[in-house]
Amino acid sequence: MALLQISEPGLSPAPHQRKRAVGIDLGTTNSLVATVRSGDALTLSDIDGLAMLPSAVRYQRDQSPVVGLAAKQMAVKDPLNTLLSVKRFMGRGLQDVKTLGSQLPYKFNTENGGMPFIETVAGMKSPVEVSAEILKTLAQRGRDSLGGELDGAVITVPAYFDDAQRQATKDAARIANINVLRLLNEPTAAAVAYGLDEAEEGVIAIYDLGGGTFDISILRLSRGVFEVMATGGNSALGGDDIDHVIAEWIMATAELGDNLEPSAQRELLNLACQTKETLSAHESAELIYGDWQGELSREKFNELVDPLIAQTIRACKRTLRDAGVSSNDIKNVVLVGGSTRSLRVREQVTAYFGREPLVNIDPDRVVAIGAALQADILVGNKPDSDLLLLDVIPLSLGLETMGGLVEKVIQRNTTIPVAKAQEFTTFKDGQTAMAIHVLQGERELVDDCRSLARFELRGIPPKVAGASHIRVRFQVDADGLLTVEAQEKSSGVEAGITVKPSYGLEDSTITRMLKDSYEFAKDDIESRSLREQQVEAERVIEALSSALAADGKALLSDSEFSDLQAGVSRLRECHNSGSADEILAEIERVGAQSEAFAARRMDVSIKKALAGHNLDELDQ
Amino acid sequence: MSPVLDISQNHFSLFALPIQFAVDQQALSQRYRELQKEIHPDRFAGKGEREQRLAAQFAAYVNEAYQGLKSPLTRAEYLLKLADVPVDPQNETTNDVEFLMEQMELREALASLRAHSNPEPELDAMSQQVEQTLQVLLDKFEHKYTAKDFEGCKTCLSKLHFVSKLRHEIEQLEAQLFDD
Repeated sequence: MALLQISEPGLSPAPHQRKRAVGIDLGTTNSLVATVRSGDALTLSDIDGLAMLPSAVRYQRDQSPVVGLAAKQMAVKDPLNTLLSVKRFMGRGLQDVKTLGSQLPYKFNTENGGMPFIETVAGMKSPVEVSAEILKTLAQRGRDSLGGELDGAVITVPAYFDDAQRQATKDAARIANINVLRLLNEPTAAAVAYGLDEAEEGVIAIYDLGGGTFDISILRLSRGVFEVMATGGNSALGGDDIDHVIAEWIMATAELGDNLEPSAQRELLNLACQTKETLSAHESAELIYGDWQGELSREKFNELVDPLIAQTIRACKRTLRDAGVSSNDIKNVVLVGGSTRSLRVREQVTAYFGREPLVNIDPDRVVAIGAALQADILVGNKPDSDLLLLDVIPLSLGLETMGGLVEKVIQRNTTIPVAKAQEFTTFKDGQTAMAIHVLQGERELVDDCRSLARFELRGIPPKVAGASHIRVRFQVDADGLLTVEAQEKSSGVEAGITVKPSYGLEDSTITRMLKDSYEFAKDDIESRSLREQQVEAERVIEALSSALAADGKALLSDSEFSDLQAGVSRLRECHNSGSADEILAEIERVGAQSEAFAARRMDVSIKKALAGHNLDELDQ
Repeated sequence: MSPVLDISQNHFSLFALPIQFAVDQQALSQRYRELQKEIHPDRFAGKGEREQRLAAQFAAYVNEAYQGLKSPLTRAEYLLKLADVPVDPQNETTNDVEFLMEQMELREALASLRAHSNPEPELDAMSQQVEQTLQVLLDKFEHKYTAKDFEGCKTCLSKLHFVSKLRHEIEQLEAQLFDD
């Protein structure tokens, strides 16, 4: 046997050629990279020993950009070219970015079809390119540490990221020349970090409060399988909001007035943030701001932040309900995100779930560590691993139907990958094209959901209304990315796209949409029935108009003809301005009015059908 | 190595379960996890695009079959489909006047709860009543299915659709009332 092992020097394959894989937590304020070495996952540090890379990029004229701490420190001096928190702009339109607040110091360029490009001395930069710079720096850190080109990376995204935001993240990785093994949801990554560590079984909750977002995920762990049961959150709520309420309290108590300079505002927020940290260790905090001196007790602090924490607890309740479990079923609660360091947050989470949360992995690093563990497996370093992640889509996907309504094709919290098809019929006689409008969100009306993409299916063979069947197929892959295809069944005419919008949904919009879907369920039902009657009216108008054009003159007297025409225009008018009930009444009126006409048309068509046949034939 | 899954078999055989209404949920979810461990795209991350695509299709198929068997309503529909009994959930009605009256009353009661100052106890009671009705109908379905009374099954199914729609409305109202 020994003979078989002889090989040329240098050609001998190492028995365990480990591949180089990293996990990347691309965060709003800080990013990290981690890898698995000798079985342990660890975050990688820069030459100064810092693991956290501030998500900051400073562009310079004729020089390569500076990334990280050095960039962040220049933010006050060179605000226009130093870009922070671009994660908030990923997959968003200019219009969305504007609603994020007027205090952004950047110059947005409006000439790119709604894409929020930022003007810098190094030219126009999209948020995707800026993120790519951060990813490049992290990948380089990985190469330096692992001693060679990376075989692949797992990059994490908030569970609440929609399709557009996920696509934007994947695009950034492509620009950074990183082979993405998988986009992984941040809470799921955290669960992996804990689950593998503790060899857990049962249902766990991941409570993830970051600087600007809140995610809650409920997972079932069983023999290495991590099954996400439901995910929810509030993507416009985070530690920053705690700083804001403290800052407001200082402003009110110190009688500062509302018109602070931006630099003074920044200073105030820094003081608020320090105060928050002090109060996690002490019963009260001394504050000095300019000439003003004051004190904030922990009791008063709790009173200020409780309403914010209560919002996260409500999201927890809703997500537990979506998962079909109660808080008693939760075996462990994992805290993720820097904002969960706050003592009050821990108290409230403990009270709600009735158990102490797990905090033995640094909440800032736990996501990157989980991503590294998953990357190690996906790249093929652990062929015997039992680990499998079954994730879900956070928001429902649907199509626009007649009357501006959304027909949901895939419900939120559906396990991915998933493929579903829905059939639609043509609406008009002779229709040869159909517009497909893809949406994401929970509300019933198109205007209240996020538009992901539009495309057209052309070349449908002309037939009478309702005769052509169009099958629209949605596919969501394991990264949570959507592909949509449409096909006309009889002819096989096809059209499809990978949903790739130029920009996507604003986080606070998602939150608003979700919240609204509960608050406005009643409004939706009312507007739904109005739209339904309008659609019905359109159908009647269409049918009657084409019948009148075809046989009206032949089968009706002049007065009957003009009466029916008047009926149609009354219905058209009512369709535009009437209520659901009024439209229904008008449809019935026109229906009754056209009965005789319908009967005569029926006679004619029966006679036509019988013509040329003899009775014997029919008897058979 | 390519992912392999026999999708010509029916969903019950896919999950190694007998074709019947009662399902061992634990066996179902265990088999689900086993199947996903075999064919999930993550298992073929290092392979070619064809393997990846095939794995994604199989995983999606398993997900759909699993969800279909997990919920008693879709499971009932699937059983009728396997028995070649055509069911059109869109155009189903029932002639059971008593049942319809009861449903109407429950719906009206639900609507009036919106304006109620403390709707929680009544909502809970209604929710329980609906769960009971569902259970009775599911038992009935099982009984008729075992007796191969497929027309009876269809009637049960259309009633089940009515009641589960009501349950959905109760859940929505609960969400609305207690979330904010």
